[in-house]
Amino acid sequence: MTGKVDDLGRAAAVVREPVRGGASQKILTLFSLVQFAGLLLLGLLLLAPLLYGSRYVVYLGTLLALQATLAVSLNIVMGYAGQFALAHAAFYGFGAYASAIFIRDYDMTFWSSLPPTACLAAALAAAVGYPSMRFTGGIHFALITFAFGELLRLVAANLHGLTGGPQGMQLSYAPVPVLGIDFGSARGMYYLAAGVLALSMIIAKLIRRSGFGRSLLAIREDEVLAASLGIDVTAHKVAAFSIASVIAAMAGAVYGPFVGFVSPEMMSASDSISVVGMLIVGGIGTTSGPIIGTLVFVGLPELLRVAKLYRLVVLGLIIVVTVLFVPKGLAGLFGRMIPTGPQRGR
Amino acid sequence: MLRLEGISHRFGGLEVLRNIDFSVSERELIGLIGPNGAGKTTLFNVITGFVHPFAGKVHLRGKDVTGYPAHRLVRLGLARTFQGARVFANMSIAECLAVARRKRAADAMRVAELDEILGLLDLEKYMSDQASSLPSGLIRLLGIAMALSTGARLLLLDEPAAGLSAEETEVLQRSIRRLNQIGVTIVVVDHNLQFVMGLVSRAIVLDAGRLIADGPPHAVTAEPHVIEAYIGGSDLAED
Repeated sequence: MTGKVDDLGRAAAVVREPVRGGASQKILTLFSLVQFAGLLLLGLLLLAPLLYGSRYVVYLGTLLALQATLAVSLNIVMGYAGQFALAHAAFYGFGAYASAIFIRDYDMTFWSSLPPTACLAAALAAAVGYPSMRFTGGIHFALITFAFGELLRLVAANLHGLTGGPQGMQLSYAPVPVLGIDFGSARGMYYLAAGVLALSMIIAKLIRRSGFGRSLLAIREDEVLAASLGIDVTAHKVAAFSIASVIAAMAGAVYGPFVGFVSPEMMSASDSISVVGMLIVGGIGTTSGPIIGTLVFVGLPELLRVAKLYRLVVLGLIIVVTVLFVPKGLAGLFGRMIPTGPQRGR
Repeated sequence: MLRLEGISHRFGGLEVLRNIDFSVSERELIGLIGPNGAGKTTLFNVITGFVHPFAGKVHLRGKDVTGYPAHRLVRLGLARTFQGARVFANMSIAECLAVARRKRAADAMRVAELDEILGLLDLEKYMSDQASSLPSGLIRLLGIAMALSTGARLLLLDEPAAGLSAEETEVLQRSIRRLNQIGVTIVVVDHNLQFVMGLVSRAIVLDAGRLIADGPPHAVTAEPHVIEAYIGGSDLAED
């Protein structure tokens, strides 16, 4: 009874023959090697400030870890769910302000200020995300988050009593030591930032492997088809946006005591767009892309000491070149042979 | 299983569905036919929650589900496929099916039954291949397999045979019949009258948004106004 079926299957197998076989296996092995090397490199980078401990290297390492956290978290909403969220720096700044204000006005510690900050960030993201995803989505979501980011920045710049206005807030607290790590020191803050990055990468990876993450990818691929398979598209997009925004706010909360200063400048739209740039350069939707993108985007200008004035020009050029010649980002250079990740149904 | 009550819809000034009434009983295998622009796909979109009807009600298993979003209907056991090859092109087949299996209908088909159907569709050996790399016939089968994996009891297939070879069409027909035997209620839309007529036990004909005939396939196609509607649009003998 399955004669015809077998014929069909054989015909299809013949068609597919050239793609199968040894060559693709070798590329798969190569790919996992590259991924392994990438993780090794990341590990070395994270260890470098400890082995070679000049103040500058530790400072740069902390900054890179926080920026990479932004990129990793934005990747959840932009890379997995395919939604252009342009308020990431605003949530970063929001986290820094909210935590600082809780500590100053409500007698909280750094640690106890984190849960309410996270809850507020999630509520804000849901409040902005739901209407923009439910009724419009797509380009409107990008525009609405962009406008919302600017709104947050203007609120921060104008609520003098709460935020100190355009001059910002001086912060003079350090997280209470945990496990004997003194967060009052530059190195302690580096540990904290690296920990936040590691945690966000683990969260991103867990999401990627979960049914929720698969549904996000399905939405990125085809929303209508996803809905027809029972996925609540709006709820998934809002959830991804909220998770990403909460992680950004947590990175911001760490940024506050790290530099000892928060100002509305932290929330500027160009910073939100740079995070998008990091993803584009590194490779949207990939695991290593956000890290590579951050190294190129934040690390390179810092190391080359390019004047701040020209930074955006150089980065703009990098984005244009990437989009033109490596549209899948630097991580994609090594092969999007495995298009949606390593767990191909095994 | 499914009951439509006075469904009307318009796009701007154009009435695409006019007062459509019909019911589908459990385990029926129905063909929905009609010339181009008759409103078949719009009716599908109304039933599956992608289009909100201008007037009328949709009842699914005794429940008024008019205006329910598509994803909620899936949980009530309704699934559909789309015209053309609509799958998650960048995912492997296993992943496509895993996405579909995540939100199972409340009284979903038993896993064993589902696996039998998937076996019948013969997709196993391509499980780790990327969906877009499959030949078009298999992509079509994958679309159906995904809809089934939601655990659907009522399956709406939108032009499943369009663009398939004779051989692929036969596999498809056999799979649809088997599904129906297992207990899935099926409504098929297709331009290919031979395909539909050889498959279904009841045909519903739409023309210009109106339901013009409903009955056994050969009786329906013998009706003069059905023939007229088809000659006005396209030829009965078209394949």
